[in-house]
Amino acid sequence: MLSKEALREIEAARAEEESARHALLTALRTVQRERRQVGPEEIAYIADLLGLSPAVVQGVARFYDQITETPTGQHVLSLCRGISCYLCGADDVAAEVRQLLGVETGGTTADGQFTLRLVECVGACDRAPAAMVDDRFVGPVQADTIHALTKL
Amino acid sequence: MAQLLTRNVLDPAQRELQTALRSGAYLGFKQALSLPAHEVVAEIEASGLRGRGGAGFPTGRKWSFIHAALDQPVYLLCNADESEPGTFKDHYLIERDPHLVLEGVAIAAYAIGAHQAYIYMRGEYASIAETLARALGEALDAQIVGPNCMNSGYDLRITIQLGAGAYICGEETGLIQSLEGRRAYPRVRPPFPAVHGFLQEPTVVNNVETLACAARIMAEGAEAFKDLGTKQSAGTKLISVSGAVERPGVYEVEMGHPLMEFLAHEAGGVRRGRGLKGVIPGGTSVPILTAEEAAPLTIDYESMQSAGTMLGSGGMIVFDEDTRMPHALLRIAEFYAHESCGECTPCREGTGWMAWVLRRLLAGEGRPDDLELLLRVGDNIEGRTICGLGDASVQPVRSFIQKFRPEFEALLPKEEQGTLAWQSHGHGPRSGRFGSPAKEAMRSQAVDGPPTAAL
Amino acid sequence: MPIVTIDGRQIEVEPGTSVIQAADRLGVEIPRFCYHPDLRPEGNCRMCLVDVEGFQKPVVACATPVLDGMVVKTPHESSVASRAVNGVLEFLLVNHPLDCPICDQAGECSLQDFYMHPDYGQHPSRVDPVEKVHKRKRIDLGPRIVLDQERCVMCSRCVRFSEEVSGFGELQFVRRGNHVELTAFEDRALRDPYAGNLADVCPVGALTSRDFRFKRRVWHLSHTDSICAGCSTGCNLRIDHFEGRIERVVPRRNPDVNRSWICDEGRLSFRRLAGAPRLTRPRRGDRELLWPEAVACAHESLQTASTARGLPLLAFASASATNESLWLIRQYVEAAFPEHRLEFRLDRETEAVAERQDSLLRRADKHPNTMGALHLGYGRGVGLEGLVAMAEKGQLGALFMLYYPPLVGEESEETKERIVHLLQLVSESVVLTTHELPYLADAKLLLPVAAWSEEEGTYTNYQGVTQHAGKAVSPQEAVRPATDVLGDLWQCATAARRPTGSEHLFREIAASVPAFRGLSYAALDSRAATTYPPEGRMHYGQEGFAGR
Repeated sequence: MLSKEALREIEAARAEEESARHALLTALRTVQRERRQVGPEEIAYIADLLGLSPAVVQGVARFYDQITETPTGQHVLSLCRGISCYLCGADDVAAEVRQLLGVETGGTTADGQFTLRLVECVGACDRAPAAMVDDRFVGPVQADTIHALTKL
Repeated sequence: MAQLLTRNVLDPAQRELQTALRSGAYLGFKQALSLPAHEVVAEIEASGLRGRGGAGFPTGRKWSFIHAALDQPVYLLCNADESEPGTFKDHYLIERDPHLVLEGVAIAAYAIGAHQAYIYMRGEYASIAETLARALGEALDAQIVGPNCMNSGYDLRITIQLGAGAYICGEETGLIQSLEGRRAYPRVRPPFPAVHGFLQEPTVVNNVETLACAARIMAEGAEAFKDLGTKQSAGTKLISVSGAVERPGVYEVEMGHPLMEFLAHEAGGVRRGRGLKGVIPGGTSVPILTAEEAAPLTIDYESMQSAGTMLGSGGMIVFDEDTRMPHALLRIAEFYAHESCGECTPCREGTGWMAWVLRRLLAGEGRPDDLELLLRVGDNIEGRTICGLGDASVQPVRSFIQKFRPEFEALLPKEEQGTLAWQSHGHGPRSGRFGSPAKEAMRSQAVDGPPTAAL
Repeated sequence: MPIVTIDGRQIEVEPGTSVIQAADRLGVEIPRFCYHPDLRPEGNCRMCLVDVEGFQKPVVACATPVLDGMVVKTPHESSVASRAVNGVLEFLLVNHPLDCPICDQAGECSLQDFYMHPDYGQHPSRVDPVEKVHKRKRIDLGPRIVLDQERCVMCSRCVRFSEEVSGFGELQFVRRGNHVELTAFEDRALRDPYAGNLADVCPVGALTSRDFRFKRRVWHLSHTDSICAGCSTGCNLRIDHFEGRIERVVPRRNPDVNRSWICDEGRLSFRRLAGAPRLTRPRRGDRELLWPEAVACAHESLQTASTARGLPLLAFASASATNESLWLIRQYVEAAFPEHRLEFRLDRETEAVAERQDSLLRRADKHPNTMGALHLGYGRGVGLEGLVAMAEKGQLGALFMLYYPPLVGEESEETKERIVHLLQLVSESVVLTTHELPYLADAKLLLPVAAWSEEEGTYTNYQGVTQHAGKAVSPQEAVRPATDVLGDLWQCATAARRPTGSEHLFREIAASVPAFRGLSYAALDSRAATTYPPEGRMHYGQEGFAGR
């Protein structure tokens, strides 16, 4: 299910930490990165790998916004809807981007390239309205900035 | 402007160890290592440093709570989960001067007798974590941290852990739970982390900026730090200002700096020359100030407290005269409803309820007593929850309604409509009427759905 | 030791005692969902908020340690606490489906009971039903448990039980805020052999027992305290019955024995009683007998086959018999048969009595009274296998047997064969038992006796703790408690009447057998557990309604 590199990462976390449970957060992040989701199959896999009950893994997985139940596109476009971004017109940008990409919030573009998310304050309020493309901060964004980004 | 933490941030090379060393990095740690740990704690206590994460608890005192048995592990956790809306100071501090943060971590760990420190960063800061990890690698290679730090005989392992998107992980016990691989449900206190923290062992959790201050204090002395700022608020504060201002960004100000002067000069004034309507001084979890209230204040703990608000995280959010306050409040209320971890009853149910009532008000479906309802719900949350998120969620609701009441009252239905629309008696499906198109629309909007569809 | 005042009443407690524990000891009611005496306190429900003098805001009684001189006021005495608790209760109902009329928890639902309480409930609703967050209902989690997510108050008792007590970790919360749901991964059937406890710890109708739900409204049930006869642990339980039929069995709390738990096998062991046809009348061969005839016949034929032939009588009683029955058998045998052996071991009970089957409660010895049998002088000889060998050599005159089929597990084939073999070898056999069992078919005379739950008595568990089990239901007409039958046999042997009431018999035991010295039914009951439900359900119903 996972690449050797990802497995090494999880194993390293497990070796370094006090208990298997302790490596769970890293395991979830790693699996999300590789599989672009942590669905039931991934949960069962992680549970097996770390010797935890799948319910426990699921409970933790379904706590965090960045761990998704269904697959994301190749990239995740996160539009910040924090209060500062809101004050700088994030709503309008979000509406335009939805139209531009032809997807609703949470949806993935037809070509599977981008999943559009609206997220709470990402901590880049000086760039409001801010966005993230995967782990990269961008902003201030407008619909055409996003357009340019999605055409890369 | 006082420059304590931000001295070197404009130099991109500061991220590299050689440059950082030339600017004095790790001199504070070296100084700390030359002292017994309790003297380091005493120095920090003498400096008057208070926590920069939001609560403002005296840092030295927090460290002094650690009384570990021999052979008992102690942990230092650096809280880099920075998720308070409008706060992005730690983001830039780590990005621009990672060695300063690492130095602070090392000093605190040494002071409390920890040999393992974790830097817990919010998942969204993955790219910044890379910068920090590179710096940590350099510091390890240079044997500044790691086994036998700077030949002192002191061993310190520092681990960077990334979160995965949950505001509550910035709450200290939520952070501990998350780090342990659990749902980040905060823990009921007592016991406090200083007694039973990470893995049930004595633990200190400090904010990034706090630790950076500690690094400067050890390098330059408690007196130098105390000379800055006011009597109760020593040193400087990083202010991340955003919203309706011309020059949003992170600025370092000496404690006691006049608020309006900061907004006018550093922040470049309210954008497009509009008038100031209000300002939240320390992240959305503290009460908003009207322009009038803000005018005489200075940036420090006591001045903010005198006006009934808090310095908080220093995440300053500026509202101009065009802002529709009920709409802005809904955005904030939705944040708390979305981020409530769901562990304890008042916060789990109350945050969602407040957001719901605001949403229906803005959808023209309000009821005559909705403002009272919002305030009462807030009263029932405040002081009744496991952690501070519940209290935090109430501050914006209460302060917005109190201070901008006419805007909210304008949303209330005319009386004759209201009484017909809603009867608040009994429960069960027979009471009240329901199923209007507007309500159906609201119902279909999950908390994590599009935020403003109902607006 | 710290002294605390709660609602004007004082109590001295050990350091570290929480306010709620102190209040429980005083009998001051503090409402709660998440607190449970056998689970780690979590403080999440906030129902136990109390007002403490000198504290700025209400604190949770479950996680606040008592300090010396503390003055606590509960919602009964303090308007601050009352308002706080009322606020919490209102929050709990915001997204609750309010489907009480069709909820089988009604009658033992904490949420319902607390809402009816005049000190913090009975507020009008401020929530429109359409505003509620909806979740899934009637989720099948295997043979024991049904989950209703909407009714869950997120107290996490079940999650903690599953993680900390049984260790299976099969229930967890997912999502956040008011969307938090209790769930089992992919709705998988629970594998936990203690899953039944999840319904017990659930203070509301979120987790209900598949076995019991919709069988009977709880207010129709009568209750009898008893002891599980499924293994040597001797878990304390309560039999809930209606018109002479057992409807369910629930644990009673006993911190020294089973805390608040029982295993599913023990919980359902009462079903075994109806699992095979009962022996209903005394029977010799194909001929049914009336009791006086049967008793006389039993005594005489045993005498003829053993004493008269100078051969010993083997008195064999399984360790599922009560101490009282074992004692009376001994009395009878000692009075009537100069040559006798007392045995109880069908298998390796004495070795297995304390052997664990798992890390929680279940033990390898499936008899509730092995220790009692040992204390009463049984089993000092060669065991069933040795006795079969003796019978083969013609060294046994007759067999007198009191046998109860196991309520958990099955007798091994080997044991059954040995019993069959023994019955075939001895020339005379009188067997007192509960069911028509193929491996007892060769008994010359069969006498029907009351089963577990149909007679009163005591069992001594693997720790040596003697516990009292009450009589919940009556046996069928011709079926008599073993002690009654034994009393009649004793009368045949001695021509004297003797009292056979179990309490009287126990007094005799306590007076004669060192291991039981100083014990009495009254002492056993006072030492025994609090009544089920262990925590959290207080029944205000009647007063609540009356007060309005």
